[in-house]
Amino acid sequence: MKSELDKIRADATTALNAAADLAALEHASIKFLSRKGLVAGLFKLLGQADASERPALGQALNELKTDLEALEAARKLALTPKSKGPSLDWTLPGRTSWIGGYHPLTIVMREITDIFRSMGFRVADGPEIELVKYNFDMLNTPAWHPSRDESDTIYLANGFVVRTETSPVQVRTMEAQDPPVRIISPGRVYRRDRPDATHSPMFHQCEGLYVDKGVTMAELKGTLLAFYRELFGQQTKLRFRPHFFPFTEPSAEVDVTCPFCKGDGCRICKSTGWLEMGGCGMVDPNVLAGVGYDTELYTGFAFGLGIDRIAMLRFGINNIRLLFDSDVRFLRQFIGITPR
Amino acid sequence: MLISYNWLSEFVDLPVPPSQLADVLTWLGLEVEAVHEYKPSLDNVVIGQVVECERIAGTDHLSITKTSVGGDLLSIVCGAPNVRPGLKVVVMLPGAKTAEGSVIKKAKLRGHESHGMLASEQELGLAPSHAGILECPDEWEVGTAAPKYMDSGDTVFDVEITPNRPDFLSHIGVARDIAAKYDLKWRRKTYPLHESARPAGDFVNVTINAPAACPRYLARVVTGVKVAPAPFDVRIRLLRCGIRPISNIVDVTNYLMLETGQPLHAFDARFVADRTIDIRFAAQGEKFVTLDEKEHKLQAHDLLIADSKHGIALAGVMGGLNSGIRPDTTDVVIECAYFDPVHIRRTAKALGMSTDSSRRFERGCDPNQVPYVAAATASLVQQWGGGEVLAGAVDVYPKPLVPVGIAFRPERVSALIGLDYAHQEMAGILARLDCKVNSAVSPWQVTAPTHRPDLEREVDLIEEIVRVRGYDHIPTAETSKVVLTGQDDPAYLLRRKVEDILVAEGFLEALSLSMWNPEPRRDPPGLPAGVEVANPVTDEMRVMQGSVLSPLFRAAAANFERGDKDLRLFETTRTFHQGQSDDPRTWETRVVAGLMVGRRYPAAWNQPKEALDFFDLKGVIDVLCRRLSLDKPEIICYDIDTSGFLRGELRVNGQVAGQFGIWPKDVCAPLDIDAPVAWFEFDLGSWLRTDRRRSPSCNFHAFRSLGGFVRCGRPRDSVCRSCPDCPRCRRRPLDNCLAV
Repeated sequence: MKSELDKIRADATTALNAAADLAALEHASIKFLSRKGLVAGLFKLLGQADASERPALGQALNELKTDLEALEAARKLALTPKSKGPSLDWTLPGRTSWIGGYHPLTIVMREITDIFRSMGFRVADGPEIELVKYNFDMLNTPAWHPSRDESDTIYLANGFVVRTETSPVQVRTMEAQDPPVRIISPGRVYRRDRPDATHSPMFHQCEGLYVDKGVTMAELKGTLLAFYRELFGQQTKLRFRPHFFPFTEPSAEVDVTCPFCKGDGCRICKSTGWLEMGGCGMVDPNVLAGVGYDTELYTGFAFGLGIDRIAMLRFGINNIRLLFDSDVRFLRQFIGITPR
Repeated sequence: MLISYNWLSEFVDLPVPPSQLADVLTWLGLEVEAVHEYKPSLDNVVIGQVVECERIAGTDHLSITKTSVGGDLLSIVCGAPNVRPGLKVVVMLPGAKTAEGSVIKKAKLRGHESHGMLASEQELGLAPSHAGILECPDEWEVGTAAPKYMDSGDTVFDVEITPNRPDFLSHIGVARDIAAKYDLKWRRKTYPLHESARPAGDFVNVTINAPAACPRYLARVVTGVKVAPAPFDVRIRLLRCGIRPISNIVDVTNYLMLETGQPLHAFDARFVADRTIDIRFAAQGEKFVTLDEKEHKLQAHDLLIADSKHGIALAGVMGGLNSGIRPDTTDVVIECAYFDPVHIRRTAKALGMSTDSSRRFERGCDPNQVPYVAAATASLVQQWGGGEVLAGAVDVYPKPLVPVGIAFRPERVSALIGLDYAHQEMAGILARLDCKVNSAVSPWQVTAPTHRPDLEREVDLIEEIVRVRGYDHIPTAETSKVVLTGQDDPAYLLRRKVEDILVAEGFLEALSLSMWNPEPRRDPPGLPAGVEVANPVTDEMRVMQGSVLSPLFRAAAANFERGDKDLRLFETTRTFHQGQSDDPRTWETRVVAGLMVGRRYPAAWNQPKEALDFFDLKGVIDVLCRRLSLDKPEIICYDIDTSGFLRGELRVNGQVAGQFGIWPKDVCAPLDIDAPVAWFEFDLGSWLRTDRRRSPSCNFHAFRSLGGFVRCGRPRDSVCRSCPDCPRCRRRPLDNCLAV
């Protein structure tokens, strides 16, 4: 059997080497290496060999098979015609799918929300069609306050109000939950403003509320400073101006140093160095008492900010109506901008 | 509210020059919206008198005047309507500079030489103009240089007054707060009063028949006055503060209102029948004509000042046309009253009238200031118009308003603010705000002054202390404290995930106004209408959207028109619904909706140019269901007609969770989209409501493919469903339904 093995090795080597083209190589390969080829035939004979010789023979057979296969591969490569340069223009664009993108308000809204979430605030939500009770009464809005007027606020025929701020969510949350309450409520709000470049009857707010034992106005200042530094950069400064909101007492308007000129004064901040960002204050005891909290035990702060304005500042959008027009030429500019 | 620097400085020695007062006001809580600087430029400006005045032929407003300025008559062309012979005027000679900066030169107008200009207040930089050129008092001497008679200017601040501070609607009120902040003394003016022996009570009678609405009514009488223009400086000051000068008597009332915040009214005594003033409610339907010549139909809750016969003023809002001051008025009855804010507000709102007077009464005036202001009024009427002030006043004030006491715990300030204030400092601030403070007891007893109706509670006093001390003193606390309470709203988290998936599927996120105006010729068929708004902003926004597909479709049409014909848009928002006609309920749904139009693949050299079809839509729905692990999703289609109009619904765990479909080209073409539009609108709320735990056996089927998943174990053609929305097969639920 050993001699047979040597002969086949010699014949096969010759035949493979002699093959002049791929067809001849294929022919030789079938003769020796296929399932019913001569090498396979040798493996069948292995069983008839003497038991003492079988391991050595088996090893030799395997070697033969490996060697011939390697030779065949090498010949195949040698016989395959060489390519004459690239057959395609590889600089053509690849095959893509549609590319989507977030709305700029979503980008900013998520950024703001995520900063507050990282500070331990939870996202709360509520209806956009609200009861007067939640939108005004329980927010301590006096019966005479102009914000209740039909010239300022949109009402439905059944007396419901289309919410003018997201603060009703705060009241609903406090009604449902005992302190500590630490929430933000991002969402759509509506006012009866005629649309122009800077006003829209629908816009977006993010309001925050923290009620617990020992919450102070100093902490409100610290919270907002930390937030605006995260949003606009660590050099940001903040100031409170006295104001009046029925929901809070004391109340303040919040200014931050203009992120564009760093407070030196520019066109965007009208040379003041400051940008007005929204209102805040300590939750009025009437509001806390209204939801059944003990006003001696608990104090709280609340704040609000306008998302649309921040998005417009951030992306240099000069007309608020662009945000709500769904013009894809506008929307496509935000492809690839994801919330930080 | 327009606040004059000069006027303020009559009450307090202002600590800063005009250029810095805006900051002072801001830090007191008065937001300065604009600053008006009046700096008259009076070089080469003299007093003159029009001698002749003739309309220039062929013009509608130009006159040629001969004006004396002391020497030769100058011929000057003037376009003002009030120019007339004899009028004393201010003449800007060549070389004079107007407030806008242009230099007056000799000129020729319509063939007439003009050697200067007859000036208005505006051109002189003195005040805003109101009626043509400035009319000078007769006693001014012709030829005199103008600076002799005019002040050197003023700075006026346009401030926004928050509705809780009625006292800020006066110069005294603002001065008082500045004094409190800078620890200064402020002073009232003294108005000398020379009364005759005859008591006012002999002249006029006052009866209050509505004491709740009118707690105090005081009348004073001045007889024998001469109606004339008010002094020049007063007129200029009023103009600067936004009030048109009318006559000395009327100007007194406006002047003192701006100074003290107390609205006043003057009646011509001839028209107060029987010299009787009766404060009563109007009869239902009673007609009354106000000064602005408008007739109002009053209601029984409107408060009326009446004489023995009829109404003479709409209390606290506006005087009557029948009883106001006229050029020939001689005897004047001055009204100085305190009306209840609620009543005035109701009347002003019902009649749609907001006047300087009603704005102040609505917010709350100070009833205890009434005698001082009334005396000041009488004094000024006499000073500016002569006559005799009758002795005393007819003052009806049955139940004097008593200021409330407030218990104040000084330690609450640091508990709320996070800053310790010295007790002495707090007491000082409150005292400077005219509060009476007894700090010897615990808690302190504080009595707020009656001009501060907003001070009712401890927290209101805390706010005052922090505000006057300065918000910049509030420290900034570290916020390392993290308080975790509850969970983020699951609807919010779901919405974010849906947005992520659709953006990844190549959709652009849109955001539309939720208010719109349904119009069949602009909107695809079959969408719910939404909820009507009672007072829409514009006609285009009369309805809260019943489906986002309407605004999305219109947006797609606009994009289509601009040449963007391959669109994949989505929006996560809310839709609004209401019950049937007799059901007043409304509710809202959180939804995600999307539209797909145009090609299946982005246009590229190696992409086939195929239009998208139903299976592209279904693919998106499939991805949403799988990536959100929705429970047992089913896609059920109703193949309604052969034109390709197709609708279907998505069910999650057996519950309807939204709609989808394709509007064929012939439906969309008239609506400006020349292609079929695939759409979906899903109820995110229903996705939240379903339990996401699935049984393992269903799990496997559901996630191989939605198409293969019909209902476990049954062949697809045997699925039995009713489809109530399908008009063709309502009675034959099986025949035309195609469960895919």
